[in-house]
Amino acid sequence: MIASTGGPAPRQDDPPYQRGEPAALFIPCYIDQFYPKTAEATARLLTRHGTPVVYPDEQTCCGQPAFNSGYWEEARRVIRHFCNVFADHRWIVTPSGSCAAMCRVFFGHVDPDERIVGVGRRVFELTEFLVDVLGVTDTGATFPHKAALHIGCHTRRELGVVEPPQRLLQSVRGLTHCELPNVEECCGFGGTFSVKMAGTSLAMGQTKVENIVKSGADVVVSPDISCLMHIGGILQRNAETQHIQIKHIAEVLDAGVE
Amino acid sequence: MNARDAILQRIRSGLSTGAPVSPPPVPEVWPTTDASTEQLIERFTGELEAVQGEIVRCATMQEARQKLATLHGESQWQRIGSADRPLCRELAGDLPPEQVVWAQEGWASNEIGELSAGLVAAERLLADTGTCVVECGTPEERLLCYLPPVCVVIARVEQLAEHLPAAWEEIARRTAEPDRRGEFVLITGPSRTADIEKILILGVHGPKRLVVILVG
Amino acid sequence: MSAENLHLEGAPFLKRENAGLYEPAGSKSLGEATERSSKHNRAIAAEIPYWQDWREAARQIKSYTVANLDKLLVQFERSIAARGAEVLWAENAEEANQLVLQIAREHDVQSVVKGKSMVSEEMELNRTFEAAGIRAVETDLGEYIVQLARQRPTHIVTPALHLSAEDVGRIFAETLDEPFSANHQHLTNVARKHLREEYLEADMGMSGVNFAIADTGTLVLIENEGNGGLSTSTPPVHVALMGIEKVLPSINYLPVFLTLLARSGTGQKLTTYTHLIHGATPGRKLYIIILDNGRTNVLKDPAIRASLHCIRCGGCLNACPVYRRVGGWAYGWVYPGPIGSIVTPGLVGLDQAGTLPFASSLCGACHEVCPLKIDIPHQLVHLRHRAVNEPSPMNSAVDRLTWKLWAWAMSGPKRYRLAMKAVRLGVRLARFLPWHPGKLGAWTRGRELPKVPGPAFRSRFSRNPNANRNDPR
Repeated sequence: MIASTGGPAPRQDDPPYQRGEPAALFIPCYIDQFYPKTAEATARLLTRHGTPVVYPDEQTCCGQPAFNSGYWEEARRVIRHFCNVFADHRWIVTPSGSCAAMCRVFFGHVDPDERIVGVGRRVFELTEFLVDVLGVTDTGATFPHKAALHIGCHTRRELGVVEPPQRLLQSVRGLTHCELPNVEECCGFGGTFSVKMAGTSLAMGQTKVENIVKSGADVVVSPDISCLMHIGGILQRNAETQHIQIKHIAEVLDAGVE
Repeated sequence: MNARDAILQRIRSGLSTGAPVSPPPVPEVWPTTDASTEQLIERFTGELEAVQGEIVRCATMQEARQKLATLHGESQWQRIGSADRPLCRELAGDLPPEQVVWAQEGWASNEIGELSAGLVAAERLLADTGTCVVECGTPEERLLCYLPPVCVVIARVEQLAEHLPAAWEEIARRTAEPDRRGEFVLITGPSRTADIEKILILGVHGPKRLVVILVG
Repeated sequence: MSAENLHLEGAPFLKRENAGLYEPAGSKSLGEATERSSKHNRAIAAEIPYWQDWREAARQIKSYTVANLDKLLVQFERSIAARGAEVLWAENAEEANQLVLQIAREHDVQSVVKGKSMVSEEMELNRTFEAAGIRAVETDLGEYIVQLARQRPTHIVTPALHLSAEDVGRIFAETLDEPFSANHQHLTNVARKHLREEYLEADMGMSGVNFAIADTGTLVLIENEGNGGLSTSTPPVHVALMGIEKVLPSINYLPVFLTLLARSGTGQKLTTYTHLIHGATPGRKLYIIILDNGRTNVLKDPAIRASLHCIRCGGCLNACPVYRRVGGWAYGWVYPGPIGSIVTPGLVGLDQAGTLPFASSLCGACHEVCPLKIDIPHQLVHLRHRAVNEPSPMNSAVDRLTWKLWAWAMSGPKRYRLAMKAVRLGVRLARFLPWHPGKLGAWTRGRELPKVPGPAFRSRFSRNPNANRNDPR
């Protein structure tokens, strides 16, 4: 039974983080396979700020694709594996807001088992971990570009993570922040929505691209690479926008730091 | 089993998986401040004008009668209709039948529709929203609010309340009276629509003009 | 319940597979107007410090209401009957239509003026009147326009939002024998003139119900045009239609709802007219028809019960980036937009409308603006879960098998690696295919595929001898 009263998903940050405690990396499948540099940057960011990382290499997926498609029994199988892999890890960090939301908010919908819900609550999105847990607001990065920040809807609304990526980006040297018009509007990815309702998904993505062009940015930065895959795919398809790059925020926060 | 019993039974069985819920407290909608009458008048005026209503301020009922006459002339009204209520009688009681028709039982709708304006009395005025609370006990009084192209509301400053919650105790109490019939209508400005391309237009079915004559 | 009322053509959201279709079919005016409304309404909400408190209070009140629905309906019936109204109950649209016709016959009704009522759309009441030879005219300007155009409404608050002023001008010219004009004021005057005659001649007036107050026996109607006041006071008979969920326990709860509804629906502090109708006006007859029409099915499922809290403000429609592009007809039934995606499957059944919950990117903008805090995205995923497990167009053995395979591959590291190798190979090869089938084609129609970089992260990490793989300390 879903008892939703709104508000961002609760997370397990008590007892509070102790300096030097390790964090386990949860690297979503599409980052693992298609954007490994994002994962590397994530590992470096954490290590550099005093958090040793471990990478439990039996990890696979958080189950979100099956969950969003309604196949909860199938998602449960994958979630159980996730929980077995991460059971003994106190702090779990992932460079994906939508995966963190799946763990924190939706694990409980699929399986109310305390153990599963408990593991889910220990998953943090990267920027919220850096800012809220480690107290980091300046990663010492240099990224001389005109950048627009796009925050994915699950990150923004299910997790309530908006300030951390903004604050971290502000500290990046040389970066010119370009305000995205209608920044809160969905880019249209929505997981399988992007292929199930392709026409609408594309129309929404095209609006996002128009707003990116209006903002004058030459890079779109986001804590959500899933959105970026979709936005980037459209940017690349059209000659006038091919020069605009996509970059996961982890890579920007890691840029130019030796 | 008739429809009523079938529906009620289905509701009960559908709810059987729910936990009991106790009635929540009445929420405080807006806090009430210590606004003076002058401040309330100012607020009311601002809000009323923001919704394209008009206000005519008068120090006394005598002045109000003069201003009504002026309005009547300027707007080129023929006959106006009026609810038969004390405040309306105070304002327009002395006017001849060529100028004002008093609401009566069985008054035909098309006659009401041909009037130049409808005069009604406010029970309360709400400053924060520019609203007039009007009591209509009969169909004729209801039609006076909606049919003529202009609605005139007569009110005294003593009737001003800060906002809906401030006046609500009285409205709720009177609504609860078992013998009450007709309606309370909360009127906030002249009738309007934005149904074509979301462009605001006044006076679609109800009155194009709402004039509040405020005495005191 | 039969779903002959579902309109499948022009409703791509009701189709099982539409990856090949280009869905957007809204209009520029609809897209722009809803965006303007959305921005305006958000600003109105943001300027109020108590907005979140009001939302939470309203949610609790509706939660209590639904949990005690049977008792409150009985109380309302008693209170308003004591004020001279006659209360009737209908299990479904068919019964409700019969009741309306019965009343019409009793009172020799030849013509009807109708205020806005979504319930009457569920009933397809106008078709019933037509078949019975009774003239029924919609009086809400937007509804009047779509009725003349013989179209269905596209938005629950602004039914003709998909039409430009030129469109309306043409419709009036053709059906009302008026000279063409695209001037908003002029068009409104034309409607006023024609509808004025209708009001004065009508034998019966119909309305919906915004709130049915149980303790005082009061009918609450809110509107801006004055058509609600007129259509319920010019004719000798007033018939009010309400769904079972419209009841509110107490008059004391009304202010917060009036405030939320006006601000969320139309960005106003209060609507132009708020009617507190104390039963039957002397000399007039008042009938109230209480309709179930599938709402008790919604009650059965605790996960979607909160969809009955909806006060039909239309705020979610204005906020929804999907609705804005596709318009109301894409949803195939009375209720479009995010609320439609949960209400339609609830009332009509997943067997007919099981695809609707999938027509969303789950962005959550609707939940954010909903004055009752209805968690629409959470209800959508729950309905998706039901749709693949219960009889519905989305219940597919092939899909199930595919996902079972996916889950098998994703629950073991070795299998995962193998599956990912296949995916990477597939993406690499896809570039060489002249044509992309199915879902792949749906992606590549407008987007490039991501490039396949070198080795995956996990193999890079494991190549680092200093990497600490599994030690949690």
